[in-house]
Amino acid sequence: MESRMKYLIAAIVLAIPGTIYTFVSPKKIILWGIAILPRHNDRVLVGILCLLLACIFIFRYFKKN
Amino acid sequence: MMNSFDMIFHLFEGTAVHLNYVAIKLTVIFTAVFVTALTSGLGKSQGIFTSIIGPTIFFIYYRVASSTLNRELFRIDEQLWYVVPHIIFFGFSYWLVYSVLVNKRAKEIWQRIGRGFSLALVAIALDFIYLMFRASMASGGNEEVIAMTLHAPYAAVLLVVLTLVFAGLFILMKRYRSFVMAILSGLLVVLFGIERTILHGLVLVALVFIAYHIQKWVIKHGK
Repeated sequence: MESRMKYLIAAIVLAIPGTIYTFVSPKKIILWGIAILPRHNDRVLVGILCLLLACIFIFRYFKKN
Repeated sequence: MMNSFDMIFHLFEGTAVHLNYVAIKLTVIFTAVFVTALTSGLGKSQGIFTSIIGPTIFFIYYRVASSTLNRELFRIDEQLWYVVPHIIFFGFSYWLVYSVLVNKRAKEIWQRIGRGFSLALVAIALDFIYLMFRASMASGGNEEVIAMTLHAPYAAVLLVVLTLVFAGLFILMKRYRSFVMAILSGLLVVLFGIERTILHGLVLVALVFIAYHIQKWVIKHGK
């Protein structure tokens, strides 16, 4: 169980920046000072990759060995 | 393979095949397949999961990211129903590799035909990426020139001819077939391709040769 727990933690940790960079408007991201990349599309790409990894880790967490 | 299906589908469907979107799609697909295989291994449930999650995540990217193409001139696959053919293409590619190419119990003849078909798809994807990259360099990154580089008939003829040639050589030849496949595909694009240049032919010779040996390595270690 413990070895699977790390996947759930990783999923939650990745889902937060993933959701912010994908769904929050570029103006708010710049206002909050978390614009790690200058182009909006690049930030969205980082966001969707984080979301993708989060989904994969959730799948791994629920998948029986 | 999935990217090749995707590009051919979009050419026939009349939506733009665009280098930046192809690159992002490739990144998303590769990450989905690689990280799922790394954490959960290979299998039917993993195949179904990656086939659904890859196109869905890419659809979210399409909807959220700002357009890099003039969408009044070019149609982009941003409607919801486009997710369905992508899931089918992804699922078919995964099934072909998992159930035919690396499956020890699959029949020899189907493995050879499957290898020919998959190698043809990989060669087409690499060829298209090369052509779009060349167009990008020649036009100074003009997105609309790049999006108009490829044509549906070229994609269809190339897929049929390369599949027949590769599958035939996988069935008939045992030695030196990677050289023969690479040289024949290079010759085909020099004579009938979009650019019809020696450089295009040489690039395809190198790409097919590399793709053949990567495929061989994957099948050897996958079994």
